[in-house]
Amino acid sequence: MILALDTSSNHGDLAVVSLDGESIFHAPFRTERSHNSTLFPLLEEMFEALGDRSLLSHIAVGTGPGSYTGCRIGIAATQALSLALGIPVTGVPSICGILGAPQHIAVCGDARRGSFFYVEVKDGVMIDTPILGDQEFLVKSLACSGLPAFSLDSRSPLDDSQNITLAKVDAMTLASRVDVNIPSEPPTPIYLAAPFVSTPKVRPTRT
Amino acid sequence: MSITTHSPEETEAFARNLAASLKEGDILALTGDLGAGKTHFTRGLANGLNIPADVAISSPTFSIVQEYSGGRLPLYHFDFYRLESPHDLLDLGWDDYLDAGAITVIEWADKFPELLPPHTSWWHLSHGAEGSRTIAEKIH
Repeated sequence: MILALDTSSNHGDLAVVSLDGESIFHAPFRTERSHNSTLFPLLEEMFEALGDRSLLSHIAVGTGPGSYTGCRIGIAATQALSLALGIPVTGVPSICGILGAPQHIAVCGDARRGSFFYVEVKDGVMIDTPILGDQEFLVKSLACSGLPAFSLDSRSPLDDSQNITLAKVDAMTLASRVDVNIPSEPPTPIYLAAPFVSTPKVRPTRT
Repeated sequence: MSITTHSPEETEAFARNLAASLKEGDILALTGDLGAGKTHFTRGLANGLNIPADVAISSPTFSIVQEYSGGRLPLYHFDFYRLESPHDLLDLGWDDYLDAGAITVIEWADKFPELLPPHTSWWHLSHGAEGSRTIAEKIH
């Protein structure tokens, strides 16, 4: 069985899925800067429901891009479980876990300080790394690709006319992206290195 | 706007009144020399937000950030003094703090003005004559 977890946004999701893709346990949860306090009671509940911990053979964790702290909490928690249970953990980009997404989609989001990211997901795999640019870049990228657009942000990164579907990560879909026959690498978060401008340190004008 | 205060208590009282107009997500960037009253200003804010009076508010020079709850809104109190690069701040989960719907107040905010959102309100505190302080809101 695969344990899958995503904490990259305020909408967390935890699931246990059999290797045939059958849902064994599912617990979506909502957090506001408190993934850690919400997550651990849920994990205990999951272990109780499961009865036997040795049924778990793999772990999948969403690696973002998303909340900086959220991604790190999910990865740290699953790495700890991986060590404790002696089973591998695989990082899967959270954007590959959108339930019911078409085969080829564009995913975008607010990368802060006036920048936005754009990346494509095809057949459940993130193609290339997210590209960062300004709002015009995002509008053009979406228009040029013509792909159905999704975002995991809590509100649309562009105005409504851009037709971006707001989605949540589904842990069961995330689990389906793991190839249990491939040895896993330690999961690393997908950070959006915001191209903030390091201008000379201008001080506010003094009186 | 600009006002002159004549004691730490007056600086706190000014910030306490200001707190009444704050809403979630507001950010106050404080600048000014050592001893200009940035921490007193923050203490006034905490008081105005009804953060319990027995909670000691001190400058988080070494902890970088202190989180105060129990008031009308949570208050995140940052001190950028010891941070060396914008990356240090981003590595603290800065963006998550800004998303949390709290009031954020920052001492030595002018170290990384590029990381503060456009809606940040900037306040400069300076020493005046006979121990007075000038508190001036700045357009940044």
